[in-house]
Amino acid sequence: MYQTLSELNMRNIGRHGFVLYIVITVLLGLAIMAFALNSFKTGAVTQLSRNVDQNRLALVAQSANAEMIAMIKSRVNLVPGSNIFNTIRSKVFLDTASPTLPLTVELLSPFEPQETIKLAKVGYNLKVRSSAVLKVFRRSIYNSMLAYNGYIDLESKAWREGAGEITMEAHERRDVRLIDLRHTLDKYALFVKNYCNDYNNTSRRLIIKGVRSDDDPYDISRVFIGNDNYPTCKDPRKDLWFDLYYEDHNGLKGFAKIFGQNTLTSFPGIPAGYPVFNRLFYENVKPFNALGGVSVDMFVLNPQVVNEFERVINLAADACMVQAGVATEPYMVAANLREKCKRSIAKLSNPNAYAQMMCQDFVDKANGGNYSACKEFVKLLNTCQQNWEYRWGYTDAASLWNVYTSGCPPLNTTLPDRYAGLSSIAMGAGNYGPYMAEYRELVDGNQYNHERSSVGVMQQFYGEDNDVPVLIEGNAYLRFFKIAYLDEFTANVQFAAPTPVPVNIRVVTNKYLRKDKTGSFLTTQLGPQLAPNLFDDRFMKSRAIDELSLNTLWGEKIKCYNGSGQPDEYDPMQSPTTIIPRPAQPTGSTVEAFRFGRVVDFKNASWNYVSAADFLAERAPNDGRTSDGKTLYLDGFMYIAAGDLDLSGVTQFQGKGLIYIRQGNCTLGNLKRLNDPPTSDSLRIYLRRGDFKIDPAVDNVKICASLVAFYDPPQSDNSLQQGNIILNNRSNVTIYGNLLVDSLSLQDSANSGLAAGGKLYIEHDPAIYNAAATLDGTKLDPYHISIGPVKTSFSFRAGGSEI
Amino acid sequence: MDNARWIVVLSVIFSMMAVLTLLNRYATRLSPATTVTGEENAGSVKHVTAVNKPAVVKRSSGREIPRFGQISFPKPAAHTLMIDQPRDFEKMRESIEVEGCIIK
Repeated sequence: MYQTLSELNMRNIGRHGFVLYIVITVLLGLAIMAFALNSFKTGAVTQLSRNVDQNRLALVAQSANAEMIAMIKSRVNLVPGSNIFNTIRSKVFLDTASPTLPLTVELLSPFEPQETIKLAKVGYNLKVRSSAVLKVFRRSIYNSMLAYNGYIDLESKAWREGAGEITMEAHERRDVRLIDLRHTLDKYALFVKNYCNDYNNTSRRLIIKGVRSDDDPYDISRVFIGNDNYPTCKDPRKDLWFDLYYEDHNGLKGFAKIFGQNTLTSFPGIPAGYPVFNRLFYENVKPFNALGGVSVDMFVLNPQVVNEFERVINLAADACMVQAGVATEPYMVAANLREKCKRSIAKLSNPNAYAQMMCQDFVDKANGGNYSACKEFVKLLNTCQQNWEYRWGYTDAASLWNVYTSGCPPLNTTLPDRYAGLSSIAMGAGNYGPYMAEYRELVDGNQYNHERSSVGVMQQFYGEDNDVPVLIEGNAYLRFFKIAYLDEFTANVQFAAPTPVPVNIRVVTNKYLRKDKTGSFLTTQLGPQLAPNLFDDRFMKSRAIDELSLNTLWGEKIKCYNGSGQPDEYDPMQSPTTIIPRPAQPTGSTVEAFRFGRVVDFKNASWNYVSAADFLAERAPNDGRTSDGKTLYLDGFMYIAAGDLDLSGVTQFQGKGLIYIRQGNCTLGNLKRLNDPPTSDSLRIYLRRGDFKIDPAVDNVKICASLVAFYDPPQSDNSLQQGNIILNNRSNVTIYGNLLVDSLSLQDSANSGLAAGGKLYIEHDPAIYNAAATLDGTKLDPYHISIGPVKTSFSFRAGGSEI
Repeated sequence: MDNARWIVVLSVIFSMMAVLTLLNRYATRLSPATTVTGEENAGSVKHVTAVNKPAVVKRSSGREIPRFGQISFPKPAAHTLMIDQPRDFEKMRESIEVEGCIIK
């Protein structure tokens, strides 16, 4: 027990010592730490701590800037209701005048980037304040191009709450391009500068459909048809003629106004068994006496009159022979007939015989084939003057020529005398009818005007249903044809005989004769007006009526904005008709059509590419977004220095942009908007020196874009220096946008036109016509803001105080 | 070990538990639970959040030309009435040789 107590005492003494040992050890450890910490330089710790803080704050500030730029990019073009979207448009793109530059626009100020704060605040109470300011400092130098240069300054300040003396400020700058993609050329559904001989082509068809507006009648698509590089010819009129076609146009108001009716009719009084021409839009008759301007003296050499007189004189000579008891002689004409008459007179030798009187008159007065001095001939002429009826009627080219055969001009036409004045090859020369023979005649080594042979059926300008008006500019004339004749008659003539002699004057076909061939009754201007309405017709000859403006076909005043942007009315029904020779432009401007184009300020380009390959690699990546082709991402005005741009692998596009190619062609296949309309997305492609080529691997092509190929500088007669659209023998090409080219060829020997039976359909996209349109309640946005991907300025600033 | 040591050990454990509980509660209160959708306002400091809309790719329905029930146009914009004059084209041709000439 004593030992136990001693042991216990020893153990107690040990435990107390152990605790003391632990305490002293801990105190010693603390003393060592205190001594060690005390030997550190306190400033370095602070600096280290501040470095760590600053790095973190710098990262946060950069993140805040990135968040701002992402927000701006996502909203500036795509979210119409957002403040960013509306602020830029209301401050920069003013309706009335350009803003005063430089212009400062606050986009976000002040702004707390929530995503950044969310990320950075875990265990660390951070504050961030940001601002984004847009500065616009330059406008495009061209009045027609509304575009601005600017930059966005992004500033973010970050600090830790409670430690405001440690702040980090990040500043960066991004280039900005602001552009209104609209241009004066947008109002055109079709613009062709050079002459094209396919406007009446029946085997390759062009259909144009313009825009319509439900609340403003002045919005109308325009079509410019040019005649630059017209083939060399003597014809002073180097115009474009569009052939009327009854089946297509009889329902249009203009048709009824021109002809007074819209039903078909035929000439009355056609003898039984004679073919009836039942394709007249209008017909009428006038006695020869009422025509004025012409006289029977002009018919002294007319075959029908001369032949009939020769028949009568032959009968008179035969009568002399019979009375003399000798055999008659064969039928003779002209000088031979005169000799026959002499012999007859010699045989009969009875100056009081009526037959001999007639023969004597013939022998004394006839001069070869000219019988004008013969008294008896004059009686015949007077009878013609009393009995002739002049008949005329109007019809279309398809009724006179077989316009649906291939080859130009259509040759295989033969019509009866009454209707033969234009097309019947028997009446012309060189196996052509009179109309074509006259224009193919060589004058000073050139055909007078071969282009007038391009007869057929005009292309469709008012849509497939002929219900949407367009305003057609250029030297564009409607064309239809008149066929005319002096009708056959039988009458009694009181020759030198006791009883009148019946004569029959056959139909005198009034064939076509060029108006520079004067001296004929065919080219002598008549007194009265033969036309029923609107146009002028004062010639007897069968002819083309080709001086009515093509717009006449619409039949009523056409409301439009004039070149100065004011509501106006063009009246195609006024007489005399007037064409619109030049494209629309402000009063006082006289820019010829061949000079039309689009200038661009390269400093306003948002993207520049050396080659088309670079462009495609960046703008049309193989991102697999859709399964049937690549997607083209548009971002404002994009410039490509050198083509050829092959978009055949691209089937849809997203965004809004103008692709301007300095030199090179562009190949297109099917190309549509990725987003369903109505959408502000739009694509415009402008080729300064190149052609559009339709992908030959794809038929039934539909392209949703504005396509412009205007060679710069313009008006060259070199066929290699023209902007074309090469249709590559496609059957169906649809352009939903518009098409503006130097040259258009629907049929081409090199198969660069349409296939036989092919169709080019151009519908003017309302979003191209005016990119600020409202479609089904959705207001489109014509502006585009591009933000550069590169920081053109970047800096940090440490210190400062919290905001 | 004797009772004193147990007391020291247990007191340290309980102290650590108390501190950790307090820390956990405090940290939960600081972080927001939901995202507030709002619009930025330049006039005052407000919380602005980015609206995360999923990218909508609306596919165009075939090759038909769209037909609109209602179409209206504003007046022509002033710059669309301007016609580029020949001197503008001359100027552009000169600038092509400078700004338009991109060297890779």
